[in-house]
Amino acid sequence: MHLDRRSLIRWIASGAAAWPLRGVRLHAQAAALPDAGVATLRALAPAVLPAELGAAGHARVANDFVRWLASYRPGAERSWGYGEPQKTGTPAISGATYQSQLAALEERARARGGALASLPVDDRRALAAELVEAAGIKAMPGAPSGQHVVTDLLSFYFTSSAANDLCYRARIGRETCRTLKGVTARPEPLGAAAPQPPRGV
Amino acid sequence: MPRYESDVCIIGSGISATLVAQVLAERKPGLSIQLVEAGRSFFDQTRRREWRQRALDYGENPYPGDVIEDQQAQGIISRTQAVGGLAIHFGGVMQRFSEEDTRLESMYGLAYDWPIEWAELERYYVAAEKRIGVAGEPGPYPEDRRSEPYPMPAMELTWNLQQLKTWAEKTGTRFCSTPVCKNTVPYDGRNVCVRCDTCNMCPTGARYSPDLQLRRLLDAKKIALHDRTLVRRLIVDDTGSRIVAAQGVHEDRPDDPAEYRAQTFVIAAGYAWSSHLLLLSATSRFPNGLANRSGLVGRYMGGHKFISAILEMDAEIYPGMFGGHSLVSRRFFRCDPKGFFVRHDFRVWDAAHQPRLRDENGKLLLGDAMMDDWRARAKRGRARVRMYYDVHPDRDSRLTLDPSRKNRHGDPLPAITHQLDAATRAREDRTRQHILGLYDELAKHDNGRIISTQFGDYLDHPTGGCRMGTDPADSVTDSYGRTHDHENLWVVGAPTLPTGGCANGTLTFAALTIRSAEKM
Repeated sequence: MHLDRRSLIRWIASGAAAWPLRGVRLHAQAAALPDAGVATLRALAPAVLPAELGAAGHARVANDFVRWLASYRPGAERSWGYGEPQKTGTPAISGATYQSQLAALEERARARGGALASLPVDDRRALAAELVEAAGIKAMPGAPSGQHVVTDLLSFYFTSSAANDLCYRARIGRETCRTLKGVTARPEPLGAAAPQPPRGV
Repeated sequence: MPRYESDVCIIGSGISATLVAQVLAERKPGLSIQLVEAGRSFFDQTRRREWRQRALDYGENPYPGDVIEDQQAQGIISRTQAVGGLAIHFGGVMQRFSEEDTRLESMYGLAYDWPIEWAELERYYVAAEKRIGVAGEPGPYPEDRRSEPYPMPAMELTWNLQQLKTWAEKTGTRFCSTPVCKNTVPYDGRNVCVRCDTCNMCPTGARYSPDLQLRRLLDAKKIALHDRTLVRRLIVDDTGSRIVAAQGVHEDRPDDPAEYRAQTFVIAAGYAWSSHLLLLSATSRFPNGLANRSGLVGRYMGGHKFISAILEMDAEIYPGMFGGHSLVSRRFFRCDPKGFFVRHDFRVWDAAHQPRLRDENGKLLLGDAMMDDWRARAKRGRARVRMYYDVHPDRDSRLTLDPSRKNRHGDPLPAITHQLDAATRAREDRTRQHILGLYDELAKHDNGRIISTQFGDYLDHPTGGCRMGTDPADSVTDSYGRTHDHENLWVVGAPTLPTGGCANGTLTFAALTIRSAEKM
């Protein structure tokens, strides 16, 4: 994803509606996910992320998402573009909201006989799908928006440079600072190397 | 009241202000130069990397605080108010206009001729390219002849752009690497580009940025910079022919206005705030504002319109290699004076397929299903194409003072309403047909398909408000940007352009500004 001044705005704007900065407490809200939710998130990851990431890759994405969330600043000044003179803040993504959504996932899992982690991956995926349908979410946000932890985890991974590489099975390295050398050649195949972190967390 | 004396007072600190300061400091050593800028400074190169990363990870503003919340214009405007101006985060495209832009009236009977010959402007393009550092290659069309080569070799075409060039040239239009102010070799103390692909927040300084140039001038004690200081009025002397002071107020000292006195005043505050300041400086003697004998301050606000499209074709494209770079064709900068008038550039970028939550039937995609769907679609290449086309402003395309919206000091804020002239409006439908026809032509090749088309709803690279000309009755400044009405008051950059061309304007603003600075 190239980020010129306009595409950056489109990317950000696709993640969530602009929040007027006034009324949002800058950086005041703790976004960290409580420990109780982390285990559920790790159990969710294999159900909604590509299988080819493997168990280690799923765990890594889940852990990166938790770290990303911990450094999230609700109400921070967002980027902007031409014709958008309204100063806006990043959306109010909350660890507590995610926690309640993950708890709802566990509750549905228990109705099927156990903790989410104990269910087959296909069953976990079906439960995640139920929650997305129940929330009425039609599209994946271009960046985590705080609407639902399932679609935000999807967005966190699938909009990443690592996912882009995996999609094309090539070492593209979007948004990675690297030399101009090699720019004229087709990117190298991805190979069997360990997946890269989704973002710079 | 604090009072600051200098030989030259420059209001603004964007690319035009920076170039004036640089040229004057070089040509007249010892000249005292002060810049007064409403916004804050971002000189911290180390934190720039951190801000970039937070912009990527969290969508945060990579230049936090680059806005003065109660100092906004109504209408389309970039809101950046910071040292370096909008060019601290521009994409770095450095296209020239063409001779047609300067002779619209005499060649086509349209708009207004610029008061400068192309041959002279071309020399200043060369000067601007050298000073800014532009990487480019000779264009394939002979009309784009240059008197000197670009100072840096062109940015090489990525694998993706090579594929797209082959595809796009099947239409008969020829393309080249878009000229940019990003280093392809070490230049002017700046690093070589490492294609971070976030050119609007270049973390390495490989892309030209005015603030970094100003930092050098500051370190060398060639200039004084007063940031976070809003100039509210220009003061004229008793004769009315000269400006004697600029009155401003620092953000932290609102009750203690400062006065900046100088022999020469240069307004380099961009297309909106330059006209705004002149209108705000009205007195009983000049009730319509300064430099406004013609009544044209704030009029002929221009820019170019644009139509974009996303196309798909059979091509092996890997989005993310260096999406900031593009192909450009200048084939349509020219049109037959006896035929239909339509002028535009033609840009091509690679584009990405996006992962999606649901397929076209609304079926939810999770895990492998999402990746498989994305991968299947990504087998086809995608391109984003866009054409800026030449439109001409009406006299009533205006910036006015809006008494209903005021800043903290009680000054009315600008309201901008763009209006195109009758000839432009009359040819709009046919212009659109022409451009859409070119997109259709692209789609005929390599199993192409138009995915979407977007019609821009604003004028990009805005210009005007203080147009230059030879006749004081129909222009605000002469060809050098010196106002007709006040011998020591100059306006430089975007406001002086009578028309906005059909290409990114920054290099033209720079070329004209260097010419102005040499005349001062």
